[in-house]
Amino acid sequence: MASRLNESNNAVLVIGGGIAGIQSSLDLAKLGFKTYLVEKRPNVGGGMTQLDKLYPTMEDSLYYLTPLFGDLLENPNIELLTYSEVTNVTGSAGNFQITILKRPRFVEGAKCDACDTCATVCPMVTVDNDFNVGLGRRKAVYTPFTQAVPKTYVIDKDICLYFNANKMCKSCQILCPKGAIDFDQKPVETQVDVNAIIIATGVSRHDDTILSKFGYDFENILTALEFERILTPNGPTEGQIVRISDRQTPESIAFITLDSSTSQKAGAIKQAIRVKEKNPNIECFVLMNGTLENEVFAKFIQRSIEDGVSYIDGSISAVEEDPDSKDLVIQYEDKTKETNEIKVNTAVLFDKLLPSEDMTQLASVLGLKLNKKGFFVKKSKSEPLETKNPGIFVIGDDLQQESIIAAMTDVNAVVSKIVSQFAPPELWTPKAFVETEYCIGCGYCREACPFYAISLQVVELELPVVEVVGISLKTRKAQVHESLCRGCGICVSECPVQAIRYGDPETLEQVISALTE
Amino acid sequence: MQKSMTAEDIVDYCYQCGKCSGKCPLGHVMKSPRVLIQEILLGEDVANSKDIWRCLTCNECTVPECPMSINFAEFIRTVRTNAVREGYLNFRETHHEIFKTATRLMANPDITPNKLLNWPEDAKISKEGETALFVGCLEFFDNVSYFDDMGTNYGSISPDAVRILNELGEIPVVLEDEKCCGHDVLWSGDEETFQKLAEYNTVAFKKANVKRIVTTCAECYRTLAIDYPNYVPDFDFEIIHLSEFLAKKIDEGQLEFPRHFNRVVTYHDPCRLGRHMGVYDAPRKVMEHIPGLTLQEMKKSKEKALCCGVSSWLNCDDYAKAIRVDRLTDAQNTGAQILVNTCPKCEMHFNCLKCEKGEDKPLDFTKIEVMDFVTLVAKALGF
Repeated sequence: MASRLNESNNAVLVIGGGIAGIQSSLDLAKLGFKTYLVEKRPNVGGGMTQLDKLYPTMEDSLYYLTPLFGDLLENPNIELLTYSEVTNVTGSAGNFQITILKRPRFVEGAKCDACDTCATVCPMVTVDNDFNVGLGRRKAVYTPFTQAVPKTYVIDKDICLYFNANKMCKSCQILCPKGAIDFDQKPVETQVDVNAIIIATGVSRHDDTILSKFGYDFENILTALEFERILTPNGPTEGQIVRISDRQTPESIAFITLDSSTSQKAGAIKQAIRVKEKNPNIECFVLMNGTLENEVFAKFIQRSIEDGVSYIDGSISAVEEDPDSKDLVIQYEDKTKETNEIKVNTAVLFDKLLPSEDMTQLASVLGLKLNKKGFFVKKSKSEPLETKNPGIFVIGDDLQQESIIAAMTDVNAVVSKIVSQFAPPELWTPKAFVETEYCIGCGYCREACPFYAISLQVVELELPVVEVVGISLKTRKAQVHESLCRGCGICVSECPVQAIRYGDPETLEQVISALTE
Repeated sequence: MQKSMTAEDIVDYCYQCGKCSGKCPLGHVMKSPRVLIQEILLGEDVANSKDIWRCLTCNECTVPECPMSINFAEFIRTVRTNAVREGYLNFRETHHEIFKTATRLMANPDITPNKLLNWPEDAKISKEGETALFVGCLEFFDNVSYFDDMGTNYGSISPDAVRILNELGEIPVVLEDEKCCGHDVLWSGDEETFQKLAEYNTVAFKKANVKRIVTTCAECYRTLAIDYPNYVPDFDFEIIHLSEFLAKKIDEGQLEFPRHFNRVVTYHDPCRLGRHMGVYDAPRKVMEHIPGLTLQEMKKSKEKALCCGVSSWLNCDDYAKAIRVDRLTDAQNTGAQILVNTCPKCEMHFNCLKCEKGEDKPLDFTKIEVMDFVTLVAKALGF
């Protein structure tokens, strides 16, 4: 099957270079699809690169990701477009025309070997490092983390002194041993034609109203991702567990899940285990409503209890701060509806993530709608990956998100959907085909096709012009998009000049010659 | 032209001057008339050639070009008949051959059509009488609704013609079981079917005591006037086109148009009415008689009028479209609002080009309306 698909011109656009986007690109590329992977950030990997360990195996996230990055760079069917955005989409399922704007990195990818000289000499250290969720700072020229793919550094135009202070500073350009810095790079627009679009933009935004309701405004209360960065060896504290206000090791930490999704509970347990691994003296409380009833996690919970993690069965009602010690008092309602409280040094909130605000623009480009929370509106319950626009799929945005397992399930589903829609086994439907020399471009077939599989190409006919000399005849020729044609034959009956035929041309010829003999 | 004349007889007069080649609308893409004739004269077999089917039989090479007045269309028809007899069918049908299939079905003696099924009551017809109106396939085009999305209304043409005749005091015979004239099968080389139809229609008209047959369609006119007498010896009716009939009435002072009909029109001479039958002036005379109506002539009109691109449902392709584009451009350039013609097929073909589907069509001919002569006269009379 793979070899057959390799001959076809099927292509897919994947928007979002997170784990869902990477895995679907790899799977589709293996099946012979030309895959364009567009990522807004300078590197691929998405939110998963920011994680420390993965539950329930406690595997290092980069240990899992790095081989995928390697495959991504090596696969000839994948075109990796980082630091890029989709700016325009026309056409319909099976025949999308995509405009991709590649923003300039100002560092030449072919020359840069990520020696970090530029970042060392860069005088600008003013910006919150978004890779470390605002906990650290970075330079104007940077790479988010050492193993980032592609490894090429990137210059932040908004703060770089070259762009903002009249070309004052060129330190990196002067000192770069490879001469890779190029301040004159311009945005590049690329046009690609694809059959289908996969939106794998994932989730990254917190719901601020929920966070502030549970005391996120206090200094020592963190989101899950912020604490994950603190736990990670390549994070802002190099893996040292500290609390923000006094940079001291906390004595007690509360992990609070704000609702009862599996991913939040499992994430909380994972972080508690990690804290216990690093420092068994820190007291860990996991506040969750009910227990995690999942066989997969049974051993995982058992391990956490053995490590000494305390569980509190209840739901959080309020968080208050002790103004002197900056400690947090967490009030919760237990099973018996009684209000209790615990006092901890620091607390971590596990909340639901929402899609980033950039989705509004992407939705308008793709002609899709967003719901109130910012998720793409799906077609129906029975087609949970399909949007209202045929050929555009959304994956990895399930409300149980943040779970890599759920994202992988979506990837498998979308790959099978795309293969069955755009590269179905050849034998199962005969396709319509146009005998171009007879087509008069009247357009009746396109009107009639229920699958929008026929388009008309305007062509200039080089006819010996018949009478009124000087008229060049522009006509149209019908074109059948094989990937969309279901072989219903309606076009064949509509064609006034019998230019569209149906089935396999060779078989037809054989049948005709057999009948005429 | 006598039936007994063979292709060789017809072309014997040719002295290979090549005037026809320069005139042929498809001379660039097929063997020109001169070359085809030369091949016959040299004894080659042209029956297997595709070009005999590509010819539009528009007779532009013959009238007024040929110094020897060789009827090239007739020659092609003879060659085609021979080719079909020998089993060569090197042509491409359009519309899935539905119209010829219908004609062949009609030729079956057990099948009698019922053409008056949807006949409007205000168009008065009789069962017997001197004058008859030949309806042809028009009713059929309308009933199968094959072309309703093109904005044509073939069903109204025959009743309108009857109303016009009623206005002049004639109550024509319209036969309920009249069959197709057989023009298309004849020009596709199917003599057998044509013979059946011709004999059937002759008997049917004789039964109704008809002396004179009026036609609205250019193809029926040619077929009844020229081909029927060749195939049915006792076919002795007077055949007259409605335009000729009306022109005669105008001369006699019987036809007056009561009101102004302010339109600019241009007239497309169908090959069958014009070059085949030599009727150029009668429709023009009628139209000029309509008060307020301005007739603009196209660059190519009368003998030089260009074909509509396809004849007898054969080989519609880019070249046919190119011819149509030329013709409609010419018509639109006259500034006319209406392109009048007397052939329903021409109307259909021009409308096909006009009705290309989709917003992105490269050619725009929406400014001009294509209308049948009968419809125009009926509108001018206020029906």
